[in-house]
Amino acid sequence: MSTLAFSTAHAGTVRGQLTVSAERTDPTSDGLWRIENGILPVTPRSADPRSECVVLLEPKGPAHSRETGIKNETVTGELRGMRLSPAVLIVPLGATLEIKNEDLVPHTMAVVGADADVFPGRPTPAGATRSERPKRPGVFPLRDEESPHIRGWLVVTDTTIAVRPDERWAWKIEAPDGLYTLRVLYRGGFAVERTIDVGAKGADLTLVLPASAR
Amino acid sequence: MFALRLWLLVLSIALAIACALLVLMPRTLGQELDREFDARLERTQHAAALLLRVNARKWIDTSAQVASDAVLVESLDQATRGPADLQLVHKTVQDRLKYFNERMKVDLVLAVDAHGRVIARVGLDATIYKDGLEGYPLVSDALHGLRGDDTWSIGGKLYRVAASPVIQRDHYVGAIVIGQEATTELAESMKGALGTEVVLLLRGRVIASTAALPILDRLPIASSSLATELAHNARSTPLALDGWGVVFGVFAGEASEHQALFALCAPRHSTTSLPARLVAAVGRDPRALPWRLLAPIGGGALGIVVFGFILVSVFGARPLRRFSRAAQGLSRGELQRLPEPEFSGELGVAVRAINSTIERISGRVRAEGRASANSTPGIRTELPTPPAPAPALPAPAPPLVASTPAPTPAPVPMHVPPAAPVERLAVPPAPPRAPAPTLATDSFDSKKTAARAAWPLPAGEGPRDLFSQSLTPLPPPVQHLDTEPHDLNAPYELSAPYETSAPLPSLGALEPPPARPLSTAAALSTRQERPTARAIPAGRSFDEATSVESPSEAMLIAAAHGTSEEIEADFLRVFEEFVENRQRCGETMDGVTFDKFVVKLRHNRAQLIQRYGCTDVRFQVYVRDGKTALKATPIT
Repeated sequence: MSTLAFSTAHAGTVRGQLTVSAERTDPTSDGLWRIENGILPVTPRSADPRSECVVLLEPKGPAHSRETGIKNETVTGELRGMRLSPAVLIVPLGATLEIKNEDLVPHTMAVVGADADVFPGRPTPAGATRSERPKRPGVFPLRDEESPHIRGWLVVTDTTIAVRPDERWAWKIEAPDGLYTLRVLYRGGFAVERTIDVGAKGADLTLVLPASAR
Repeated sequence: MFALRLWLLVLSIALAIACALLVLMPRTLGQELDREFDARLERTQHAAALLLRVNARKWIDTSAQVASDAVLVESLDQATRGPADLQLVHKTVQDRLKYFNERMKVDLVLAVDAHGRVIARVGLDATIYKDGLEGYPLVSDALHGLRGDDTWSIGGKLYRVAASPVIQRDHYVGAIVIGQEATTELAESMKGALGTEVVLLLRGRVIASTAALPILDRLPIASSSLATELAHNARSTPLALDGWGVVFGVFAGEASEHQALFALCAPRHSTTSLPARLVAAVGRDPRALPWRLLAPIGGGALGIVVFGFILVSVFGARPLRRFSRAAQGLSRGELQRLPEPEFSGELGVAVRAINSTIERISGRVRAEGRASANSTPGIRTELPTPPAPAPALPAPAPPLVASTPAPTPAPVPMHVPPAAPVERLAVPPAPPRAPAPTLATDSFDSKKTAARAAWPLPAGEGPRDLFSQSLTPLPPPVQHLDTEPHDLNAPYELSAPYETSAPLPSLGALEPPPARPLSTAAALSTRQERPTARAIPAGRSFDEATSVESPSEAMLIAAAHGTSEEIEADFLRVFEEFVENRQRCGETMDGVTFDKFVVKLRHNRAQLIQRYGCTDVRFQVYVRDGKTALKATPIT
């Protein structure tokens, strides 16, 4: 489990266990055919769904920025096999994001929508690496302008604490006392969102994730 | 008239409604046509989506057939397991894919192993392999056992792709992907099935079209303006572009993110006016039109016209004709008054007004006649009231010059009582003070007659106007004669034949006889031989008309002095009749003597001759209201 949280004098521990509901194997709609082969059962689409899951803990009140001291940090993503790996890139504010294009075709990763300035679209030729420093914190959707199916999330953290679940889908966050918003980003969308109060005793949560978030 | 007005009102409303329909119906019909057209376009779009989906299913089945090839299965299994020579496997797989592609004729065929790695390609990027494609949802799903389809946007081209897993007994060893580029061939195929023009768009530009439509350059802009609707509904509502109806549909799949669209275009019906549509329909094929359906309309229109004519005839033309005939009868004296019961409405009001006017004038005439009655006790000279209006007076003739021989006035066509036929004599002209208009009146006293004769009312004024319509044209009065006064004892002769500087106005069919000098005796003797040259209209009594004409001066002298034995004999006859009638009526003869009677008659005779310029005056005894009276009739 990778934890980007930090400890304070008055901190509590928030633990949680994620439970993923049954993997959806039924054909998708959207005007496309998805037909079972009739010979073998359909296997799960993703071998490691944890790569598409991040737990975010955002303080509700004012918090201290952690930008200083991490300017030399670099977070690396990879475009390989016509997909972004990991699909959720957690970048502390001030750190550098590098995206390597290991495919044989160029890619143009960019934050779509109104926050395009956070990670503007620039072509990344095959075999090249693109480096960007996100300008402000937040959770932003990423998309390849050349291959729209390549999608991901860019989570730029400042006061937000982001962790990935371990192999047992468990997670733990050390956070200062206070009110927080807990959100779980899973497969392209926020699957869970709730407010928690982190105190001296901490918190122990059990969250159920749908097979695929919207 | 009310029915006629009501009919006109109804007809006007019907015409207004018809005109309104002519103006509004084309718009309404046009809107309905547009709605129907849009509905058809939407159905066509839905049919296009189904067509593409069915077509994709065929490609899926084709890919499944290829994926079941034993060579491919074995080769991909070896590639997945790893130790095999990948280049050899690549060659084997590529050859096998080429073999299939010769039959499928597709643009893209590739085989991936269970890791999503491309083992071989045919068609697009045929020389490239070992790259990973597991990121494509279609490939990923196929590697996990799902057959499916998708659309890819590669290098500005749109590919419709299908994939099937390659199964080696109990596990998946790879997938086969086949794809066909969306080109004009696909658009033509869709057009053949849908019947509309088909345009394919990708990333805001047209990539294929069935025709060089004039709206091609506007379609990308229109699609971008509908991006939200297209993203939400995968299709758009029909829209109009320069006379074309357009509906957009989205190619399902990954390429939809690149605005992979198909546009179905059809010329929209132009909403023109109804006459324009009629002209177009007739000009296209007149015989094909259902003309028989117009028969009821034509019949209805004919019925409306006939009904209108009947109404106009019953309530308009016929009453007017009756009124016209009645007015003519009134002018001819056949009617005393217009028949009021026969007319109603406005004509009835007019008839009653005319009758009231006639009665008022008649009453005035009688009153004046009574006021000017004879002053002799027991003797009352009365002139009958005219039953019909007097004819209009003709314009006065141009003045005659004395030295100019004037033609003798012709017999005047006028109404003369049959009992007193008079002959128009060629006599010298009357004094200038007597213009001698000829009034065909029936009853008026001598004073009124004289007043009218002396001051003929101008046309259009006074009671005379009412009768002016029935005045008989008369010869112009002889005026301004430059003659010398004659001695009464001397024989009366015209000094010289009159000559006119201009011909007298024509009197119709009657030509004036040539003027000839006459002596007084001759004139008087001529009066005895007075023939019935002027016929009295049938049905008219002597009392109904009194003619006043210019008398000759000899006649005036003779009448004034009363020396004619004939006149005296006539007076005696009149007196005898008068006495007889008074006795018969039981009236007394006190104070009535022949001498007084004759003096009165002479006085009245001279007065009438002087005032009216007539040649003679005929007295007639009659009984009225049980009393004996005398009627004086000027005779020309």
